[in-house]
Amino acid sequence: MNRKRDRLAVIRDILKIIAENHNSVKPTPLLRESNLSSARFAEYYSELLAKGLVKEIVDERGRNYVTLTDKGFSYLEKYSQIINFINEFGL
Amino acid sequence: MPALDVVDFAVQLVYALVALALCYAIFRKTRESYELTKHEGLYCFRQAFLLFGLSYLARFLFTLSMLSRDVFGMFMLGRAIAPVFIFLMGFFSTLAIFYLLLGSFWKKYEGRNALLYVAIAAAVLAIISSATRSSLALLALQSVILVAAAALLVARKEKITAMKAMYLLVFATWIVNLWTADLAFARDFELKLLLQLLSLVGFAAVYLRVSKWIK
Repeated sequence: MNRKRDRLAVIRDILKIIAENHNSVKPTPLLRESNLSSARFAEYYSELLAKGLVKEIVDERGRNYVTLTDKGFSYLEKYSQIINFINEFGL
Repeated sequence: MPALDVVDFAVQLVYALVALALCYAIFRKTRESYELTKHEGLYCFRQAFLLFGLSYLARFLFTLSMLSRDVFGMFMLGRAIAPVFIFLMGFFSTLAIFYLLLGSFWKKYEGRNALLYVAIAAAVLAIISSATRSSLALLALQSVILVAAAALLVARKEKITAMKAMYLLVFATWIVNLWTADLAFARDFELKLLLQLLSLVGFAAVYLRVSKWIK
């Protein structure tokens, strides 16, 4: 599998972890479950925030949580379609 | 001075509009997928079809400028406007062809300003074509690119999928269409119609494949 496909798959995996944790997970367990190095996770995490796929929320005790946005749910829903499309067109 | 062939003119107009509509539909259909992933291959693919749509529009306007010269006797107007449309046609179509190729090879050229280089190459090619005031120079230059693209596919031993073959078909029919754009070189109505139908079939096939995967 090439690097770009890997990138899309890693994003899918991170989003899936958040969705499977009732759409609310702290950054540290997310890092642990994503099986990435801290540096790579930070890179992906910034990308996800910048693309608006996830957002950070702070609860009343000041704890930081990560949740999926509508765009994040949409990515998970359409991931297979997009990958099939990219393969079909040799992109 | 030849009389205006209304049927031919109507066919040219419908052809340009259908090609433009199909290209724009492909561009629109892939918008969400691109916005979600920001995938570079998808970016090149979308831009290629948007640019092809604009090329067909510019081609129609070029045909109109030829009509104003040949049928309505507006030599000065035709002479002044034709090079502008040749430039637009050359720039949009060459860039579309390069984007289609980059869409398949972008992983090899990632981060090398490939998009800037192809834009410069397309502009240079369009200026050369425009300076000659004929779509035939553009045809010759783009034919060289078509041969180079086919050779590149063969030399790299890339797997030639049905979609890559379809890209080459869309590319090849565009080149043939350049030949039919200049009325002085395309008198055979049936042949022209057949080639135009063939290129629309190419775009329709791409659109149907896109629709199959992206609902």
